[in-house]
Amino acid sequence: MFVPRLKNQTNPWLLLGILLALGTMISASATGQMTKAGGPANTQLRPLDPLTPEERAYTERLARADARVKEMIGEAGVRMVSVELAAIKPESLRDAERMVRHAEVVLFHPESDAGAKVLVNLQQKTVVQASRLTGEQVPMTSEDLAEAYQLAQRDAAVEKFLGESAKGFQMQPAHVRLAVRLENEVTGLRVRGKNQEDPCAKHRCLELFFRRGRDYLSEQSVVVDLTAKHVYVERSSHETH
Amino acid sequence: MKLTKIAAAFLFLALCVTLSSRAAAQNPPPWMPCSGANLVDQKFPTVGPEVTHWRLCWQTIPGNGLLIHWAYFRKSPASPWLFVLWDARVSEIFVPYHSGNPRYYDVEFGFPLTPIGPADCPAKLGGTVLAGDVCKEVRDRGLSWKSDADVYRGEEVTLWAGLAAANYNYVIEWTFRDDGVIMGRAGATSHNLPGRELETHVHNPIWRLDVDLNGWPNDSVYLGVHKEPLPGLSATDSENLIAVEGGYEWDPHAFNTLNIHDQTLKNGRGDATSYQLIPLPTQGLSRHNEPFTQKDFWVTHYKPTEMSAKDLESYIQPPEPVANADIVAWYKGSVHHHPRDEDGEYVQGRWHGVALIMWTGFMMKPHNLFDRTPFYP
Repeated sequence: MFVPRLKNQTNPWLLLGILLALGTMISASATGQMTKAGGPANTQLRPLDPLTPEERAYTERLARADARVKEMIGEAGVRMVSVELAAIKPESLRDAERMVRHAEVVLFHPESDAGAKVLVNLQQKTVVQASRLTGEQVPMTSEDLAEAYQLAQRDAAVEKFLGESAKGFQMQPAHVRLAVRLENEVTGLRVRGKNQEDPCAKHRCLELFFRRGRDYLSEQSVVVDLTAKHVYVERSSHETH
Repeated sequence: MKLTKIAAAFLFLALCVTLSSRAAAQNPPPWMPCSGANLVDQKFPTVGPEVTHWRLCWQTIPGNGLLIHWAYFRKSPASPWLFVLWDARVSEIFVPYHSGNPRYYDVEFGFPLTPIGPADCPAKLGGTVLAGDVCKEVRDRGLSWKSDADVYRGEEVTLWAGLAAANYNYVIEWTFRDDGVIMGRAGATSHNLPGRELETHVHNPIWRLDVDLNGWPNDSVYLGVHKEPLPGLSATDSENLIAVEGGYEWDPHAFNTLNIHDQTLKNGRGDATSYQLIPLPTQGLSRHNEPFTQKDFWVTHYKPTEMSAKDLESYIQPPEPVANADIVAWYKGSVHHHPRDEDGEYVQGRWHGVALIMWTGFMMKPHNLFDRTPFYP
């Protein structure tokens, strides 16, 4: 039998040493695995991992349902502007591992030209903070661009400028750009008034740009006042400065 | 007898493995608040035994583009991990045109990122596409030092993403070098403004850098100043504590830097360690009518709600103390875009062509972090 032979031929202290070493190796290996991962194996999301679609959805729901938010901007006709991960700094680096996932939602109510910025604790699923924004403070979104383009399509001067293809321009989907170039694309930039008399000094205004193939059309400038639902079309200056 | 020898060899091997595991466990990687593709763990040199090491998190946000969170640097395997950054981002890109109008705030639209593919980020050049819109490049960075026949080529890891700002693209780039240097750059490219293709304008990216050297608070910022009175032959260098929040102009003749110190952090030689924020302007730095553009550096006390560069003036009223505090440094760069024929041409009423990429940025250089020349035998 194997064991008696071992007993006869091997120093028992050596056997004990091997067993001890094996135990230490297993323990060291386990420690290594823990430190490689920066802590115990954890399938949960870490505080600064990107938001999941589920988190985005319930963050928006929580924000919309919050009483303070309803009081600020109401419920009907409220647009979701953005939902992003929020990194909330703990007291010190030592407290970092207790960081909690948060998200910040921005909502906008075009009719009242008011918005709300809402901080949500994703662990407790509660609204931590809600503050009011003016329309001027609310970022533009692809919904604003879509609305501006719709308004522009109804304008005779825009129709004349763009010709038969006036209604054929497409927009990139919200929050992501397609890997292929759209053949006819409309994009936009937010513009502010030239002076205090300019309606765009207070209103939400977008300048629209139209691209065919690789090239932008540059003869006319199209500015849409989303607040007043008005379209301004001017001949471009092509100035050199 | 044979079995005894095998057992002894096994025991020796086991002891070696145990000892090496213990040695490696001396400075385990720090806990990180991110995982998967959002965690970048890069040792240098990329081939051979490790000397230095970066661990950091990245995130993308529409508008701001690519952000860096939570960057740690280790100057040698036996050294502790040093916390450097909590959050670094482009806070705003302000673009005024020479005629006075328009004046765009390009971050506030919330523009998405451009897609990134193998053509942007070739694997054969060290590129890896992360999450479809961020490129990570691990690459040679040219000479690190040279001394006659002795030479060392450095390496770096760079993360970049493109912001699709209507007719324009901005490339937001963050580089972490093997020698502990951090570089931030913004590049402007793509189509000139439709209808104003020939009008000069300035792209002003303003970076918000929440530097937390060795953790937070207990950081202080000093303005590095070189003085060389003329006529005369001698010069002096000094560091002047910035005691309260404020904005500062960069004087290239004074080699101004913003030096960020931790209250207790020293290197192995007992010298105070700092990170120096050094402007790397291309051609110049602008001044516009808007007050936040009239300084190059700003120092503010950390407040989670203070993220917008265009509100900097209001953030410092009244000025709060920033010595031994949780501080945020801000830096404004400028790209002066004077249109040229290389940008494109009018073809049948349309503008055909794109502006080649123009860069501006800064460097954050460690000062007395290492005890000796890194990567020097």
